[in-house]
Amino acid sequence: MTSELTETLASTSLLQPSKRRRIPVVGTIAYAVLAVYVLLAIVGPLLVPYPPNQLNVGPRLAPPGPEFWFGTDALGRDLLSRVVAAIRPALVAAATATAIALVIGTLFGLAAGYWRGAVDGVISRIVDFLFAVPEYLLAILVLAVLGSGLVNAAVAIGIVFIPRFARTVRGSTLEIMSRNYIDAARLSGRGGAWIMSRHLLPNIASPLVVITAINLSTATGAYAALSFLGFGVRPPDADFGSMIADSLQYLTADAWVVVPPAVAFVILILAINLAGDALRDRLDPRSVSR
Amino acid sequence: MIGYIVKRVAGAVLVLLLLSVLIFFAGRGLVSGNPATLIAGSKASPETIAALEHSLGLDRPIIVQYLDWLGRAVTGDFGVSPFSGIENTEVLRQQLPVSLELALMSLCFAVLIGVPLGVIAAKRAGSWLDTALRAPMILIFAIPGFISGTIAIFLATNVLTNLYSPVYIRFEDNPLGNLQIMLLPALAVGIPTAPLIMQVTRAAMIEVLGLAFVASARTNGLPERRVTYGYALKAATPPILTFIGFTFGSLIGGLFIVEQIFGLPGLGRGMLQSISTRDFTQLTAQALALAAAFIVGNLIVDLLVPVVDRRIALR
Repeated sequence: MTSELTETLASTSLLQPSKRRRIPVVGTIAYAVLAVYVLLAIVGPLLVPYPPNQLNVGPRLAPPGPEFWFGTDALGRDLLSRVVAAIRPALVAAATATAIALVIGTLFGLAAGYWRGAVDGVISRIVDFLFAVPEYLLAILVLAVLGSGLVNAAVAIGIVFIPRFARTVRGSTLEIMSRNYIDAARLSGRGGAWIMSRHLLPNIASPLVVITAINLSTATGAYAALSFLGFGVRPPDADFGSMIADSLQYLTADAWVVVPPAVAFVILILAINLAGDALRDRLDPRSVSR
Repeated sequence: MIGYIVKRVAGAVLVLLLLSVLIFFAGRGLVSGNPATLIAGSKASPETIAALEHSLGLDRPIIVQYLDWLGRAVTGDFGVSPFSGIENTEVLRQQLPVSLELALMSLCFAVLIGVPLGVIAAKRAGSWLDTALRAPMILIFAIPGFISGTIAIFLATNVLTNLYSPVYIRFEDNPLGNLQIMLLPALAVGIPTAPLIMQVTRAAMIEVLGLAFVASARTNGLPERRVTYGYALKAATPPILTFIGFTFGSLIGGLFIVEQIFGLPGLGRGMLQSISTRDFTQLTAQALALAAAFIVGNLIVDLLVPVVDRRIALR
């Protein structure tokens, strides 16, 4: 039931104009914006005007100006430097979480689809169970055990996302398994690992890339949300979620402080969404014609 | 029908049981080391700790402790928190209604916004109106709950100050005041969910509007409004309803965020507080209550689907 819905959702994306083909420009802009973010995540800390964690580089809660382009926060730290510094943990957490889910979910999905029978029975039951648990509840329970921090939050999101990959990979694997070349490989005495790596993985690569892109976007949102709740990188390090959470108490008099991290984050997540969509249109032409 | 109900209820109970195992051990994982040491303090003598362990039943095998906890939980007894000295059932009695109210209000908003917009978009599929309705949804869909919550608290503290109270107003004390302060939090959770419901409604309606019985209703001279809302929407309800069950998970995510932002004393915020105070007895009670509410909600949807769609084979 849930899988049908996920498929419905994936195939009728909000970003899909109904009958018209999408303008490729949107995808190009999204890729470009994403490239800038990735670049800033790598070299950004070298370019920023002030050390992101240094207190009182300027007055407290200063509005944007020539000296502090994005203003300063309640501890007199430069917001531009902090926003740039927050990009790295955001991308690292999203990539780590997605990688964990991708690797473990793919292994489970391949095993279930290849061996079927009892293996499939056990894996599918686990996946069904995980799908029946609210994701944030599960993530927060995992974090209750692991404690907060970037890696732990990424691991929690990764665990929560495993079933999404396992289910898609299992479905695609079952489809490929009925092909003649799988029988041919089996008859020529090839083992499971060979068939999986040479035949199954390459043939499920394109749906796998598509759901990886989708989950990269959800993982970015999930990590920022967990960071907002206090499970992300530890202070004083900058992080989108915690910066936004910290600024809430100044919303009456100095609402500006929330704007730089919030806008930077929304642009990031929009860029990931739109880039993922553009990628899907290229890899899965069926989704465009809908 | 009875077989279907039994099967669904049994499935829900099984999920809750498995989840209870997870919750119990997550609660123990929250405390690194001996819970008795944490409660008594690091300076307590070994005798005190041993006595405390015994009185809390912590010296028994972990499986026995789990079964004991589960057995009591089923009867609604979650014990007394050794940290705060408050009965955990009392905590749930305070917090569960807050979260349920917030979740239900959010769901209402999501449905009231999503379904009509989806119907309108489906009626005019491919037109400028369809695009105009769906374009802002791209942005809303990309905005995570903590951003919409931040916007809501900004509005609450700056513009719509009569819809905000720093102190929670209980429904029993002042129903109108309670609904007022819950309005913005519920919108903050509901609005980000609406685009998904709109999308599913639109897809389901486009399918149904192309079916023969809709054309037949039109040729029989029924007013268009009645064809759309009386016939087509009714036929499109099952997939929409099933999908609404699917959004409960993201509603729970929204609860954690928005309760935290608005300082609402619900289960989401309560769980975060329990985690920070390492109160594992309270955390497990809260998590189990939240999980049970979620599973019951899904069960209700599961049981409603065959009611609205008699064609569904009751497997």
